[in-house]
Amino acid sequence: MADLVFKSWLRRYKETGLTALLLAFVGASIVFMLWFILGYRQGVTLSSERLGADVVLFPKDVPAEGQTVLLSGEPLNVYFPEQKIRQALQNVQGIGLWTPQFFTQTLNADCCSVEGENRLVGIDWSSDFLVKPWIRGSAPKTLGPYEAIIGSNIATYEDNITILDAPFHIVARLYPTGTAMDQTIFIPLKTARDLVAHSDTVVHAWGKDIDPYTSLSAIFIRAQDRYNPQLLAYHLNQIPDVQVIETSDVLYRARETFMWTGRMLLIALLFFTFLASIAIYGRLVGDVTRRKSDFALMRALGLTRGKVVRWFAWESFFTVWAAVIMAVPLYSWYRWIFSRFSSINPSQPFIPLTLKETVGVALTVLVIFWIVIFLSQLVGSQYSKKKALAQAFGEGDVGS
Amino acid sequence: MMDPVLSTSDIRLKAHALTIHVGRGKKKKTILREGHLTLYAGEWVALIGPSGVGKTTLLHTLSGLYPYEVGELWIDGEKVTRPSDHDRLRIEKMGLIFQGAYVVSALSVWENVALPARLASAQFVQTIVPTKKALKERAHMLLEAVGLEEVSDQLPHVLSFGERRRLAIARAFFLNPPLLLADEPTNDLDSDNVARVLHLFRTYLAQGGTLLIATHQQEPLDDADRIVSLEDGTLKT
Repeated sequence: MADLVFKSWLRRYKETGLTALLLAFVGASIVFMLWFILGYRQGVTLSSERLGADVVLFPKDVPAEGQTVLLSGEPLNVYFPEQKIRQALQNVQGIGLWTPQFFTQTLNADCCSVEGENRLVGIDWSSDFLVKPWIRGSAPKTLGPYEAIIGSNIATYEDNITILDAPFHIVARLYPTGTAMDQTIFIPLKTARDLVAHSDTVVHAWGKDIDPYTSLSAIFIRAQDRYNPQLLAYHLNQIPDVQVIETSDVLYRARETFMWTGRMLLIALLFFTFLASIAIYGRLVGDVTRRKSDFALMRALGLTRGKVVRWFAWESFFTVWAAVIMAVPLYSWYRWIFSRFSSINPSQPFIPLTLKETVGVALTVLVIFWIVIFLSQLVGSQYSKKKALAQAFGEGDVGS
Repeated sequence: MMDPVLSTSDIRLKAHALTIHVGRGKKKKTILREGHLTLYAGEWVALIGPSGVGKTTLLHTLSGLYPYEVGELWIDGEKVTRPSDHDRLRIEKMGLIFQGAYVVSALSVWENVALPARLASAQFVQTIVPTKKALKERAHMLLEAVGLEEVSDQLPHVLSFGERRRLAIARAFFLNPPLLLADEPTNDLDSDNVARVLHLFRTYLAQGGTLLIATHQQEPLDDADRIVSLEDGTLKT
């Protein structure tokens, strides 16, 4: 029967093609919207669960928003005196762990052998608790002077790269975090300072009065177990020359944004799906009704009710897979547009779904619409019940 | 004791005290009231009656497309007890030529002719056309018999109404049915094609087939062994 259904389906290519195109548009749009919503939610969740630090210290009076620091790859050339802050931290209660970071500058293809704009950050490997949890595989025990760890969004074709004329060997790569870490290259703190001190390229970010060897850009702090992070932030705020960013605040705002945006998107998605389902239902019922003479005849010639179900199962199968073929380039186009926008505004936490997850979402949408199509066709074929069929013949409704 | 009717092997169809109604309530109309009809192998029976009297409904009832209220029906010796039996008997024992020249628009002419074989049970079809090649050959043979061989690969929308009718006639013969129910099969045909179709019917009867043909035209009546008239809810010979 499948070949008969396929011939019939193919020869009505104007109708079936339009139906498949409608489905492709609807399906690709829904899959993309789900991909976006789920990726956003995943970004927020991962950021809040695994950011690692409760508070971050930054130089005072730096016009830096927490969202920018924690979630975006935008450069921040901000510095405070290391020794003074280290001493101040000795007297603050509630500090569990802390680790310093030294920001250099935004890298691009002009200075380095990596593509895109990325941050170069010096870290103290011995005290680090931010980068280590995100390493794919096992974390290296040490981080040598010219060894680097790169974020998930950094594209490299080999393990040896050049940064500001210095050769680096990539020893680890990170999982996606949905934060600025995804666009960051991490190198040892001392090496970062050396690069800044000696590189002719790094000029615009440095004033004459800043000594890289005695400066830090940020200190990430985790509160002691069961110590209130807000109380810790309060204590840290007493230190002169620094400002305190509570990561929970940043992530709370990101989550709030997501909650609102995500909810709006979800409502729009449900509304769109509902309207699309009605449109598909109407189109398919109309399509089957237009062919009622065909089905009336076939019912009379031996197409049993069970075979009618099989007929529509096959027909919906062909329609759905034609739609899938059309939907793939459409979906790719959506993703391309999204990548253009997200590269302009990277300050939102976003973890794209993996290929496997995306395929899973697409298959779910496919199955749902397959059922919608199949049921629409079955509803459309109700006229072919036995008695109605004979009446259709008797009244001359069939044929012509 | 065995029913003498069932033991008579040359009876192809027997309707006993058949009552058929159409419509409901005040619009209810009796098409046939306790009607009796017997068709024998090799017999050509013509069914006549004024337009709207219920000839088509009677044919549909005999073929299981429309229900009867009271009565008993045997087809090729088998008593019809359930609608599903009737469906099977219609597919395996009857060829149907509908008043309208119905075709499946998305299938080619030869595929339309072979359609009954694609819809009936594979086990039954195997006895008539065991292979796909045989199926196609039989379709072309029947199309040649009705003069449509040249358009066998075309889609039906290129056919005239008369050509569609001939296609429908060829299709009715596809599964080699012992009983053929034809509803005005020579309408819309020119005299040459009427002669061609009647010749086909005669050949079919000579091979042991049985034909019940509802018609208003004279030519099919000339060949009939028996004429049955449907009037006022009764069948008169």
